[in-house]
Amino acid sequence: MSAIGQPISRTDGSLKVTGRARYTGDIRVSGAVHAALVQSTIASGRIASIDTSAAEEAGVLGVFSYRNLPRMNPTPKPWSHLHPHGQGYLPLQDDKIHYAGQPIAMVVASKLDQAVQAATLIKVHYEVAQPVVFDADTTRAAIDPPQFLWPVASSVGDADKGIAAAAVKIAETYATPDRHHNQMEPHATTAMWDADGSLTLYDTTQHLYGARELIAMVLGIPVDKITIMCEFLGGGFGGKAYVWPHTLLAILAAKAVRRPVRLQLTRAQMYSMVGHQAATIQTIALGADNGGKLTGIRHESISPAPVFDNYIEYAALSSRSLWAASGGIATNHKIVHVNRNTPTAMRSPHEALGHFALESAMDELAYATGIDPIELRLVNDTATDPHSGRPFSTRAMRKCLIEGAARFGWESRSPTPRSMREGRHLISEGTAAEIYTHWRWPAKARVTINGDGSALVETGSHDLGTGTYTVMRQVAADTLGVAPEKVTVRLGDTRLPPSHASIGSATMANAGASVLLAAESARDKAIRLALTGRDAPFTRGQGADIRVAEGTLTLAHSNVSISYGDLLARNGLPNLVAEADYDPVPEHEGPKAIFSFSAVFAEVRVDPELGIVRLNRFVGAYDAGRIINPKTARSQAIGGIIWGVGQVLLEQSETDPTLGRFLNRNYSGYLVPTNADIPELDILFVGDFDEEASPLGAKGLGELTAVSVAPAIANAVFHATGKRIRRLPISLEKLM
Amino acid sequence: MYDFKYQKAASVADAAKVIGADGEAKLVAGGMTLIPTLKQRLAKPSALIDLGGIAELKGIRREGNAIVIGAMTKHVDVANSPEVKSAIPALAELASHIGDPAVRNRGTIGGSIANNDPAADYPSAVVALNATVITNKRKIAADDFFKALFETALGSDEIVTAVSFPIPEKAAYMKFPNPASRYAIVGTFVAKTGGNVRVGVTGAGPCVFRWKEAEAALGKSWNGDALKNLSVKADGLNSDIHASSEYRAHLIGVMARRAVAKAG
Ligand SMILES: Cc1cc2nc3c(=O)[nH]c(=O)nc-3n(C[C@H](O)[C@H](O)[C@H](O)COP(=O)(O)OP(=O)(O)OC[C@H]3O[C@@H](n4cnc5c(N)ncnc54)[C@H](O)[C@@H]3O)c2cc1C
Repeated sequence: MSAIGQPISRTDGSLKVTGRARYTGDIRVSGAVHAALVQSTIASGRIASIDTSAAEEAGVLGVFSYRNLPRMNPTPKPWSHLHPHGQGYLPLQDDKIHYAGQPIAMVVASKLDQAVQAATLIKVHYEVAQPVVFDADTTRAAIDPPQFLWPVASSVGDADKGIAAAAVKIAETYATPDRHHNQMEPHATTAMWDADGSLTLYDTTQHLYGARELIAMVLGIPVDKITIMCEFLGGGFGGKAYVWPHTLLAILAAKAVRRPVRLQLTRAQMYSMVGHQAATIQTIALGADNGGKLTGIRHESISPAPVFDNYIEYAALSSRSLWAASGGIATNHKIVHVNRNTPTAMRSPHEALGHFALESAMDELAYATGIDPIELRLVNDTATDPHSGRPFSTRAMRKCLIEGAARFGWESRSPTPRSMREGRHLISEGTAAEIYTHWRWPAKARVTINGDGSALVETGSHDLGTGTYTVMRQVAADTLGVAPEKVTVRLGDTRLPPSHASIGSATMANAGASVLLAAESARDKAIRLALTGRDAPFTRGQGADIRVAEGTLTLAHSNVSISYGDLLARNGLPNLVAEADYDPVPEHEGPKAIFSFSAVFAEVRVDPELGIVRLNRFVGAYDAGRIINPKTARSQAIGGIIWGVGQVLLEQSETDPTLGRFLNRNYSGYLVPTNADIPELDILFVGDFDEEASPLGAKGLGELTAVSVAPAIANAVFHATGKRIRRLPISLEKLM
Repeated sequence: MYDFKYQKAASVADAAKVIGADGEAKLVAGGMTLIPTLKQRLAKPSALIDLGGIAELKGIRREGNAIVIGAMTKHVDVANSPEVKSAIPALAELASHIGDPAVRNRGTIGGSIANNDPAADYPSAVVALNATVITNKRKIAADDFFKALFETALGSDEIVTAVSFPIPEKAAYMKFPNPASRYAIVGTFVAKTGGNVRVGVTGAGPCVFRWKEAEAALGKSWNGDALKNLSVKADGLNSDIHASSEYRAHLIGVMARRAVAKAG
């Protein structure tokens, strides 16, 4: 039986539930000492004076500030997303303060509490400047940023003309707030130097090789002298893909004190020492004919970036490709430089922000035209990507909408707002569709077939808690023709064949493809041995005539067979090793436009007296190509929906408007959904094998599932209350 | 945390003597508020005088037409007490929703009212039930006990020994909890005792207060609808990231109406 397609449980599940999985912060390195940070209490200005004498006298191993920390090499300009994989402003290099919570000093001591205590003894005097925050005033000074991912602006046809001539128009402003990832696992680093100048790091990273490249660059260490390990990650969500200042600080501290140094961020530090999702203010204009057919889309977004980097939330990206618009589609992004640290990708970056605006606007259009929201989307479905003009590789949007609606029971919905009740509650239903970018990235992998019939998969990918260990085992097991339990998977170590960052929902399709190709190559080597090796068992036939199953090679139309173990023994080989280098053309250079799709449906219950919105039930229909493991895929979908519930109802990082610092720096002020907030979630996978997306047929899934939860629930809230909330989150008071 | 001395008091008199002599010493009951305050270095007492070993401060008993609860009685014991459940079920229910199990198994009624957190639950019951706070020196009427934000009528060497709650004809408590701590964003306790109606509101302002218009309206007609046209002004009410003062003002009305409905 094929392992692919089976709902196999996590191979690391028992390690995790029994506490034996070693996360970065759990790793104890002998002789390791501890670093504690001092952070700026102001958001803008400079350090006028810093007095570290009391800390130095507290029996510590080292006290560092910009005055004595070695200088780093600057990161390259212009700042880009893929090079150098991190914040451009480097820690403890000068007396400037660019954001609140910026690290300004570090203490290293044998014991953590000693370091923390000594850090409190450092006295800092600031020259305080008025911080710039993201608000209505500063957005007026928004600028056109340079590109770092996709083109910043786009225009196909003449969107404005299409809108101007439309029978029905929607023009609204939507806003999404700053948010923080709040992974359960805090960021942590343990850095060790060897006598020969090589550096070993345990680091919470979802981008081993990006981290290695950046560290090599800014610290001037040859890449091959750096080893980074991350066996398990306790949640990344994009927030652990860049190198953040604490990692660099731990490395330099370890060098200075000549001991391994461990630095783990506190929960509060995770609000300024590492990235976040920046707020957006988005304007959308839609034009449509009376039948709901779009004649034009204009979507623009403004988001804040730090004074030193040009990070862009590409919120208008999805409007380029989700729906057809006969007149044209125009999008644009601007940024405002403010006093904060560098934002970063946060599930689902760009798309989940833009879809809130676009798919809310589509719901507004449905009411304006009197067309059912599902019908409206079917009318605007397209087989060609409006942006690039290329046909979509696969686009099961119709199936998502129709099968999802049927599963949900959409047809019994009464479209009038406030028309459905249950006791004192208003009941309502909303829907939204989604499109999600698919990445084609290079990745390498190695597969070894051992003499005992077991196999080893090695690739420098990561398991963020997503199930990489499990799905890679399935891919290798099927390709090699061995039972899944026979396959061991090793990830999370730069000594393995390099893979890509585990971001963008790209791991299954790309890292997975490299494992597939390496396993195919190992299997083919075995087949060649069986045909041409010592005492070759198969005296006729060729590769295609040989089947592998249950660890045994069998020649077609014969009863001649040999196990991997016997084959290796017969040839005097301890094992067979094969490597693969998956090197696809980037998606945008390919002949087809590749995206994942979905349609989601939410039923909510609103207490109109209190403004409380509760999710009653949720159906998600997803086209993520071929599903390798329905169980881990379902877990991704559940996680994505819960993530979206947080986005739409709860999450908001509040900034003090005068002090310019994030205020609610813990779980008691920054709310995320709990089990009690989440009902039964119904997940459907409707996609088919997509050969353009990956040799495995899989498209991106993880982030797709968090994209349109917000508009589906916001649309349901409108249906319940008649109130259109265009500024997230839909907190209680907005419904009063 | 700064250093402090620790002393277990043998009796109320013993504890009163120590805090009377040392102005920097502090009583500790369940420690659920005090210990976090020490951890954050917001207080620097010379000594902690633990009331935990004093038998006379514990226990729940019925005295005539009142339920008397010793100051060191934990929230969980009030929640589970058969006497409280049968005589003032609203009070048992209030106690059962304070914080989380850890807080309920340590925190005490004496500590809660002595602390007078603006969002604490008990003060609303003390006020609405017109309870009497009994100390080592005197008896203090509810209306005189809670003074201002974290301020009570207690003197510097005064110790709460018990709270006496008259048994009402009808009572109920409704709170809109803080999503993390479960403290009251707004909690409204309504009670009808000896024909008198009192409404205690916590969480909304700097200190528990009575909503007198609601008391008058409910005195005429014990029905949530009697409150329909009343509203509380938002001026001076608390405002934070979870709820603005306007929303809190609105909540007072909704919680009061729901409490009346619940009281039956
Ligand atoms: C996570 C968390 C959630 C919470 N949620 C809630 C909630 O939902 N609702 C709620 O009402 N409360 C809540 N609390 C507070 C809790 O109920 C505390 O128990 C209470 O506030 C203090 O009681 P304590 O016995 O712990 O007092 P302590 O912390 O020991 O003392 C508090 C103060 O009272 C003084 N004191 C104590 N006993 C006496 C006495 N007999 N006479 C005079 N002074 C005295 C102390 O000197 C100190 O100043 C929460 C607390 C935490 C930590």
